[in-house]
Amino acid sequence: MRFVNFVGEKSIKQLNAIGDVGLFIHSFFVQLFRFPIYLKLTLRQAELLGVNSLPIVLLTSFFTGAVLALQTYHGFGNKAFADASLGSVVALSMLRELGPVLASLMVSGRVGAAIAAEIGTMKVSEQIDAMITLATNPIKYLVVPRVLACCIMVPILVIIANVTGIFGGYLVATNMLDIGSYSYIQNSFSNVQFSDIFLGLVKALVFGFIIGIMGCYHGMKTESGAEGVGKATTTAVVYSSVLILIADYFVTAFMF
Amino acid sequence: MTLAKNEKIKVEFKNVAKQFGDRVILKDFSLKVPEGKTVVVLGGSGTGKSVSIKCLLGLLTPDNGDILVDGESVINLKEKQQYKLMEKFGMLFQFGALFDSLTNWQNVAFALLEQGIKPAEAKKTAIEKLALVGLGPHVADLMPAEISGGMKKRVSLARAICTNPEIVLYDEPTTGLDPITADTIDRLIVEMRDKLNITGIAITHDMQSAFKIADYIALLYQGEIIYYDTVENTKTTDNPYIKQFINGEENGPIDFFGK
Repeated sequence: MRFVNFVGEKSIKQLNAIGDVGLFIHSFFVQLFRFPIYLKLTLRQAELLGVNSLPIVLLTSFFTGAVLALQTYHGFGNKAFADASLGSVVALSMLRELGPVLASLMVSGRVGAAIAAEIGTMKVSEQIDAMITLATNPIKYLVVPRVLACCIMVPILVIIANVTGIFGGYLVATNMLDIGSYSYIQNSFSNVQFSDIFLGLVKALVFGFIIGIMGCYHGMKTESGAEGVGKATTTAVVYSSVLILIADYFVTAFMF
Repeated sequence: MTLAKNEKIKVEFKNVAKQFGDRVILKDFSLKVPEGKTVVVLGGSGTGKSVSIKCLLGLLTPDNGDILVDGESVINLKEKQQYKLMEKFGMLFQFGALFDSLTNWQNVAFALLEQGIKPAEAKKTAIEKLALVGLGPHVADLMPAEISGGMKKRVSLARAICTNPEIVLYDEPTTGLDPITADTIDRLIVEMRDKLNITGIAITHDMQSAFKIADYIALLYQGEIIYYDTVENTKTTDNPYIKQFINGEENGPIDFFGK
């Protein structure tokens, strides 16, 4: 009986939370199309969240592309196979899957946490309440610019990650694996279609939205002091990472 | 206590109740605040003083009862009405609650900037308001992190009155300040009432400050207002609850820790 009680309580709590996130997303969209539009704030966030994430995204994607080339080559252990398809394996994996997912996971760790911590601190120091008493909607002023910035910047970061990853694979293939530069490049591009790039960018947009919404939502729900901020930060990163991986499957399944 | 007949009621709490989970915070909270007067609500920590103010501002929704401002209910307003209502209010938060990504003048002029007033003009008004609370123009361009706690509170007060609100709420205006700074804040609150005819609700447990700023004093205990009278009567009252609170005695009818 106690077990049933426990399961029931947990389920209700989870369902409540899902409903709450739904309402939050709803109010985001309501505020998105309402004046005034905070262009300056959005650009500032795009700089803070996007441009400053560049180094970490460059590093991870470069090494991802490089290790991908190595793994594929050694995994198949076949020079003929490598000559014929290493380029396209790296390019397709990066564009369709690894670029968007890894870049977004890195960004969620950095940006999702930063958003949740900042908004969470504002919440516990009553700055959000203060904003409401100054007749300004915090969803409009704080959430919309951040989520928009994520939706714009994550796809751009993913494009950069794709290019860097493919370049990393190219360097390893031509320098260490003795594959001809021309054949690698030609092989990379012959199998890539526009839809592959497009799929990656759709994913990036969805992931960016998840990162922004999760960071803001958990920030706005922060309770009780410094401990609450820490908890909100962790929860935001955990949820956005898990949701990115789940959404990744569904976007792939629905689009192809 | 009955208020004088000619006094217009600005804010009225009617049997407001609010609980969080099983914890009852406000049970039957009723209070009338006359226009142009300052009411100080006393009460121990955790008795729901802040909750009552948050209900008034629409930050929390009461479970029961009603709150009237100028005779109209402010419970469950639509978003647009809610933000319109906010223009009547100014609030001084306990720790200032200044936006730490903005400079002091941007904080003070926040509402003006949001209304689309040009930055140069808004800054001018902000500097005027800062002067009102005794801060020079050099403070305007500093960040909140660069000034002291007492100054933050004054900046916050300047922000609260920047749009000339009719009602200002003070959440522990003097808590944590040295006696001299506290006195400055008290004087400002009194001045604001006398010059701008601001209706004030202050929650505090600083008795010295309460006697300075209040026209009326109310005592909140176990979710209800159990005492409400003018400040003169309060000084001479023999009500055991308020006497215990004023004199700061552990023993008496009020039992904060007994539950």
